Amino acid sequence: MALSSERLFDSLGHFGRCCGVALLYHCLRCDGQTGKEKHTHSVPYFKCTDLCFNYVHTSGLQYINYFSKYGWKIFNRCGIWPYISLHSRTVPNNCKITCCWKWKHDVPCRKCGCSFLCISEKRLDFHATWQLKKKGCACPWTAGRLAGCAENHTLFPQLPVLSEKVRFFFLCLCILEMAAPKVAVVGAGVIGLSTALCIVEACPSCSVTVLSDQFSPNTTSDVAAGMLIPHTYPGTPIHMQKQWFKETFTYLFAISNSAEASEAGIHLVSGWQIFRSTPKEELPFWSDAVLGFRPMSEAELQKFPQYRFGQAFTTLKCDCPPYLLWLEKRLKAAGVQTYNRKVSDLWELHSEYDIVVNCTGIGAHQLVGDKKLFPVRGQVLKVYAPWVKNFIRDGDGLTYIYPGIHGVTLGGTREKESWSLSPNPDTTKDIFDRCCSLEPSLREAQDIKVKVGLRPSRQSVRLQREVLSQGGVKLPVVHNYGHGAGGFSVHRGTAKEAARLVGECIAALRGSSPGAKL
Amino acid sequence: MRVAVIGAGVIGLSSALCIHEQFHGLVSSLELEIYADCFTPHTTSDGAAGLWQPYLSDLGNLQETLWNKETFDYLLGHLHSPAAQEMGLFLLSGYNLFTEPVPDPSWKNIVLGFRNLTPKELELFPGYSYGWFNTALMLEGRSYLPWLTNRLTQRGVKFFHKKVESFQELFSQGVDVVINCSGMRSGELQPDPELQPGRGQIIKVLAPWVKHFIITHDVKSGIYKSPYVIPGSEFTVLGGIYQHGNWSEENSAQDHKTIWESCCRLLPALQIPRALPPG
Repeated sequence: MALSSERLFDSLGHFGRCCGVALLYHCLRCDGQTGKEKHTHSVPYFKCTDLCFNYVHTSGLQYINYFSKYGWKIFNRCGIWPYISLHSRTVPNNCKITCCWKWKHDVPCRKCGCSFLCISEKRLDFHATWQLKKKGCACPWTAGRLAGCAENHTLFPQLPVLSEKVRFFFLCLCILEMAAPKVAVVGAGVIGLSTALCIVEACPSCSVTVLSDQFSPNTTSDVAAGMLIPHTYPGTPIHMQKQWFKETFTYLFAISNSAEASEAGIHLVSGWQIFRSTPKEELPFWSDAVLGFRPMSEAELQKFPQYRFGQAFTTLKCDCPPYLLWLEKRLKAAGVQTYNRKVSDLWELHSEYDIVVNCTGIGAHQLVGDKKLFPVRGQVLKVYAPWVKNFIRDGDGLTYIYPGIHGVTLGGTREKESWSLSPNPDTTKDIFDRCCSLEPSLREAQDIKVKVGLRPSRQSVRLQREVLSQGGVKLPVVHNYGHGAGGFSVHRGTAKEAARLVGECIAALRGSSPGAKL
Repeated sequence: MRVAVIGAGVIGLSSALCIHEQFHGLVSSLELEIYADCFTPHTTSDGAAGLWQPYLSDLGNLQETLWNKETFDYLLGHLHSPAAQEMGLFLLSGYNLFTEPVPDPSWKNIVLGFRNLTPKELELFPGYSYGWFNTALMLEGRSYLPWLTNRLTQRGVKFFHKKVESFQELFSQGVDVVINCSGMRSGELQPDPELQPGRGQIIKVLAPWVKHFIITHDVKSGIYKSPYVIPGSEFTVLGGIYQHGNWSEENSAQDHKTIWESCCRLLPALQIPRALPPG
């Protein structure tokens, strides 16, 4: 992984720009072999995608030349490399240097959480020894003093006797220890946002960014009612679907019972699933995961004269946009950036990110050319009928009434292979009539809005790793898409699994970098 | 024949409607009149949340249980009629919570889907170890009373905004039968020491994510002295005050605090909305 010079410069932050730094990366192109004085590439140094390091033979004179071209000042009074402070996100994670690990330190500055990482190593004790001044850094290790230029630098006791090489190694070591993987999550529906959140929870040192061409309220998730009633995937083992559902239910149950419930749009709702004829499977796999599941009584069924059998239970509902907006808020608080960007090819991200997570839903059909993924068009109505407090769902999955916080979702349709996002007025009337036959009071519903979403359907959810490679450069990808009609019901479970796969990618990256020679 | 109903709350209006439905064909020139000094939205019925749920025990009074059942079945029958929404009638499921096991209520077979709570459901309500779940009916006074008024007006029933000081007053005007549905102030027409005010205070909040009623019970302190949450079609009612013998119709700041704190403990999610001003 490499950096462009602009990003490199930015990544140095205020301190770096004041003092000048030596940022040393193992050159992937030449494997560190060219060293000595000059290093030639066919393209100018800081425009090339690889940065090279050289031996410092003449106390950095050559470096001074290079760096000063770009306005950096090297603090070279002591003839030693200054202590560097780096933004933790800029360092690629696949550099490695073989050398003596004597100077190894293992605590980058997460103490203060500031974006400058301060080196902590007892023997070198940068913080205590150097009188550094900088406004604004709250790092307790520097007692609020950082950076500064050319002032009061005390010599580090050890360093003058260190050879150039060792100093050099030390600095590189610091960089390596500070390495944090850059992860891009593509897609900002319920799957993308919850996956990004699971990744930052599992790997706090990761730098996670969400890229999507659509955000709430324009995602497929915003059309969905968000009911936690699982959809069965024929190609995924039942025990796995059950685990995903249970994890999701438990996670949301805790939020629904907290002060954040209304902001997150999560609430309990009770109701009935009814069947015209008794289904083969009277006890679905999720019956013990929801609350109070039981068959409907005769008296309850009388409300639905054309139905023979029914199930009564209490489950959870995630209202969108509130839930997606709440996820976005949690992500921002965790330092995750979101960008509105259309990704046309996952490979285009290889230079900026170490790992890509594909949560593009129906977009994966085009993005990764998955022909097993197909849309199942769903049209729904969102109406104002606040007296409807219970859900009613026909077991065929086509007719349903789901009361939410601000409206009731009436549905729906399941049109396979239809890509149309335009509402169909005949369908609207049909949905309304079907729902009114189950709940006649809906005739008085107000403010009817029509929405269409394309369920990203697949025999099984694609939740797996893949490594893209071109010309010797690799890009690990984690896929998490294809949730069809069951996205909300399993979103947290699949997001946690995807985060686990991202962890595997990170481990693989760390274990397999090329060795360097100095 | 002149029949006068005193009182225009839910009892007065529905009594009038029943009388008219049953007798207008049987009795020639039936004249039905309703006298009240208080009409919707200022009656006691308008202050009630509107949840159909009798007291936990009928204390052996089977007649009351029959009346309860007749009422529930009548309303259930209207649930699918076009008038349901206008009546303020809809199904509502919810929880009754106890700190110890209690016998089943007399109305367990009247409501729909009555069952005990599962341990997982009880996790939602720390401090409560036993409970019921059932689906009952809501009948919101501020919709039902106007609906009843319309039905009565259509039938030619006359309304008089007047405080009746005595039964004699009506008889001397030529009324043949008086139906006394004056509720709380019946004692002014005919002393009844058994009739006592049970003062209640509520807070109405906007909490549209609440889809269940939750009624807690403290068997030691008595009915409705323990927090309850009842979601209506527009507002959610928070309550938990029942003061026997207290005639004050003023809002009490202390009661407001009690209700708010105990309901927020019961339902942490309530802490976000601000309560509407009392009254």
